[in-house]
Amino acid sequence: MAENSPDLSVELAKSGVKLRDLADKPELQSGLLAEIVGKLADIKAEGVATIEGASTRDELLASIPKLIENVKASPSHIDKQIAGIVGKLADKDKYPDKEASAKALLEKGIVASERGYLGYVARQKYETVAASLGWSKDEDQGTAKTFIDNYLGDKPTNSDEVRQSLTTLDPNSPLESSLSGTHSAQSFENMMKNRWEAKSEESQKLEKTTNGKDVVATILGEQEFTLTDLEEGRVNGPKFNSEQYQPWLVKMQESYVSNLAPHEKAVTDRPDYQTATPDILAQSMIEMDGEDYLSARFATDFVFGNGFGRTTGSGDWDSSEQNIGLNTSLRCPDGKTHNLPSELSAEVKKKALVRVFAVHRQLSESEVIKSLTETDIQQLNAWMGDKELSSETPPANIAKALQELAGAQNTIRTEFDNAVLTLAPNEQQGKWRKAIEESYQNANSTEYKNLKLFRDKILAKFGQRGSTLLAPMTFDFNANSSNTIGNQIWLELRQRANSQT
Amino acid sequence: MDTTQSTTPLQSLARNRVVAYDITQATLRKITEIEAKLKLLDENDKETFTKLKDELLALYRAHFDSLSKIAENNEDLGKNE
Repeated sequence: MAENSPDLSVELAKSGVKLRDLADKPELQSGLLAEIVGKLADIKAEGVATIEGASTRDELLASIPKLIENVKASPSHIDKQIAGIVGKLADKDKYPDKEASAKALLEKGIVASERGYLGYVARQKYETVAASLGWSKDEDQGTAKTFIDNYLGDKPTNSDEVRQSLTTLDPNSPLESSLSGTHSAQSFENMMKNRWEAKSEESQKLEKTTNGKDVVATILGEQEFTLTDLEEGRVNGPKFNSEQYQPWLVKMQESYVSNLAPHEKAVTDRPDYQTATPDILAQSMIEMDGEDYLSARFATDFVFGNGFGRTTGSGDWDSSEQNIGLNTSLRCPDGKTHNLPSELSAEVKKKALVRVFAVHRQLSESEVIKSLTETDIQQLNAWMGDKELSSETPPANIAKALQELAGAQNTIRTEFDNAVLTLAPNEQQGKWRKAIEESYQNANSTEYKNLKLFRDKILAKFGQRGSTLLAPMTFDFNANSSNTIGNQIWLELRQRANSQT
Repeated sequence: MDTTQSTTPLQSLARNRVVAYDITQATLRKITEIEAKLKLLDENDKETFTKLKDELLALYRAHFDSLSKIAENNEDLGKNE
């Protein structure tokens, strides 16, 4: 579909001149509406005649490809019309510099509107810096903000200034002026480079003393890259250029792409992906069985509670959501987090509850449903404040129930954490890792089985993509970390990956 | 919803474009559904055939009518600037 649907926003952002040229075409300067509507009417008439002429099932079936083609192409007429109108607007007297004003208009009016003002501004900043570091240029506001928070967080005054400038910046201001004072664009960039190089030095030391596999593992562990980032790093980053790592990285990347959840691909493939409103994207996910995916995601959020929801739009990881109950929001391409429709939330939450029980009791979800005792049902009903769990359950009741479930959530988290801590009693990194590796081979505890079941379910459901789901639980080799399960899971993934090199 | 929504003509144009693509997505989805039903249909089931044909016809008409309305609205937005 994408090939039939030019992304006007991108075009608009890139080149007002090009669109003005388009608008200068005679057919767009006069009778624009008549032309567009006329074309739409012609296509409509053609299709209608074809459908009406079909007298058998096979004839009607044979007509469908052409109908689909017509429908696919139809919004391009709207694109053309909008391009023409925007070009005309830029010609007004109040914008004497046509080319510059056209571009500014488009960026202000459309890009800023669709992507979100802050998202747009942050993106511009981030791209400048990220490009200089060889990082992915396709990150979004969420990443940019996290980036800024992470790297300027130890300088509260200055970072506040930067944040402030991010939220109040005029879209026409250059990066340099927005990052004024001690944090010019250059100093901001240098600061991040220094951070990067500092980590690089640590990695280099390791490289001298350990084998290549460990270096890869260490880099992965420290940097929390997504797989896309890894591939970017492989191409652009000096640390990843060694041929030794390429097969592994390529394999990971291929696996990532091939296992991309269908609903997510459906969303990212949408021609209006960059511009669609959150509710449209959410609906698109739901229609592609996204509800199932979301419920799994929320179940894991629920268990671990410190926010590692895979974002749906920008490709970054949301590590900021501290959830009492379930995470019912989506991070969208505009860089903002939006609540899901309440009806969806209720249904997703219901499924998530079943999944939580499934993990906790080492049962399949169908077994959970079958095995729920009368007490369980009563408890669930009490939590939900209704006679029966359903999509009609009032959101307020669900919210109340989820707050009450926070206790259960903490219990489950503690059980999981204790399981891992039991397996890895030594905080010293090497021993800790070794202990986990050994324990993993011989783990028979119920708690560990719970963990393994959970992990297997995620991996079975999403394939290698599951590792991405699990990865952002940080790889901090700290036995006191509440995210040690992430280490445990990632460790196995790395072992598996290393064995393939 | 996006809290940054505004009402300038340019922004409305942008949203109209999104709507046009969303309508298109929905139409394509429904056509695919109808196609799937047709493939499973018994050739002799004329009643269901007619029903599906009418459904397809209405869907197709509605799609282009909707886009035409968007085009008209876009034109108004252009004049209002």
